[in-house]
Amino acid sequence: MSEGRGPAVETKLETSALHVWLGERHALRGATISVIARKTVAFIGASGSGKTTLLRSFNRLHDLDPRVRMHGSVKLDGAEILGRSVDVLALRRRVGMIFTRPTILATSIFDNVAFGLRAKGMRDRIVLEERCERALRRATLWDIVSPTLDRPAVELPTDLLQRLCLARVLALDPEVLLFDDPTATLDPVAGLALEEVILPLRRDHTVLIATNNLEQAARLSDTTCYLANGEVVESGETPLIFSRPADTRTEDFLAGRPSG
Amino acid sequence: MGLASPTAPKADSFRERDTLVTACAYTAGAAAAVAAVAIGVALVAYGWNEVAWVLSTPGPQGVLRALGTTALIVLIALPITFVAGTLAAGSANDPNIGGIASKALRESIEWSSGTPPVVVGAAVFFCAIALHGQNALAMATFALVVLNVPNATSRLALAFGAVPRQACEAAAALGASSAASFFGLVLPLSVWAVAAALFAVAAQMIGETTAIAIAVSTSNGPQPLSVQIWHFASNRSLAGAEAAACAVLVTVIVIFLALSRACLRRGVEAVSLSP
Repeated sequence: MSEGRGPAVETKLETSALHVWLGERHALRGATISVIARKTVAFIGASGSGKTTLLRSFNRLHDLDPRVRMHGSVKLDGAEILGRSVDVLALRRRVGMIFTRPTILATSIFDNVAFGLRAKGMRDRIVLEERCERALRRATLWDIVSPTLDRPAVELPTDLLQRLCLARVLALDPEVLLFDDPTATLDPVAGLALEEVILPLRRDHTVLIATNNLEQAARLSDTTCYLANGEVVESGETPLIFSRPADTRTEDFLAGRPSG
Repeated sequence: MGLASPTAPKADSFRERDTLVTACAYTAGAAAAVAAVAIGVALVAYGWNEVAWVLSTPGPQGVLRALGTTALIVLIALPITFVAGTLAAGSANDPNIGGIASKALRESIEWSSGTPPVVVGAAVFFCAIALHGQNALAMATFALVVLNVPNATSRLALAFGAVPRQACEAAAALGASSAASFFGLVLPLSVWAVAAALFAVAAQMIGETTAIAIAVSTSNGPQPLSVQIWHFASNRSLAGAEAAACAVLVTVIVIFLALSRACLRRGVEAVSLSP
């Protein structure tokens, strides 16, 4: 978070008084945050606190559900992204998302990684292969899957599926990576292995990660943002939030106490 | 005595009601199956000797020419029905597909599914009169399309709806447009279910009678098999040939329905394979 750091040149993402209604439920209540470029922000909070809702606002995935209403401002590199004139498809290529459950498309491993590139209109096989190889290498999958790129992706072991999803996003060279509790469906070993993959990505990308795993938030993030009941309660540098939270609600959450 | 839970009788009554409903469903299903088998047996028993004759005779009671006409009508009507049905079902699956045109088509289908076939038949009859009976088969084809688009749409909507929503979201998050997601992901994943719908609707079209019977009554041209059976139904001397023709028609329909079921099974496997 920038928190009074002056000019917005370094600010990658920012929201201002952002409200989101999921049908009748007021899921996000006036969230105002800003994210510095190439920093990693962890969103923590109880289930239903608005973490996923906030993440999905950054790539306008809420547009897929006609019951969702949004009000407020979301900016990427200082440009408003909630307007009607915004090219949503281009936005989603700049702001990639990895979901809680690995959602594999029922095609080959190669076609999975190339899906976004083909949707963008890329048809040159050589360029596609080059981009896919680079993405798979960055997701530390290349050595494992390179001999079986034409095999169905569903045949991959469960612990590798989430990495394949990550490679699929990385193939598009996004500027921002949104992780929605990416290790929730993985066992602890596979979860840590995925974290090892995410760590070096923080150099080149702005990373936003919603997680229920506080240790993970502490390990991965530069700054942490605590949400409760759709409100941003507190945000700041991760060591500070975990050692000396300013708000008692944050303190209660970190200590596992029910908040008054 | 005093240990009985006050909620126990409620649970029992639920179980009794559940058993009663299950028993009624099984009874109705068994009765329908027995009736279907009885009709099949009656047709075969009555027309068995005539099957070879109706399949080989070139005369008006022969079924090959009528089957050819049926095939022609179905081959023209089926693609039109499926394009319209796919558009409507696609827009039902994703409101961003097809825009206002698809929405209007979807709405009109909901209304038209309640229209009796005889009304459609009467409508095309008046159209045929307006065209001086020149295009009776085209009118019959049109009637089949109108009658079967709702059926095709509901089957296709079920097929598309079975594709996991998360897969569509993942595609959208990769910058794929609604149309790209639909044609690149939803359609390939539901291809077997679409094939199942295709065969089921074809079977329905082959057996459809009322509307096309009215439509082709304005001309003396070739008649589809269902209409030919209808046409000779009042002639008692042709009862054996009628039963044989019916057996042929039912066999063709059963083959298409069996193909539909086989495809549906493959479709369920394909969708359940995707995590």
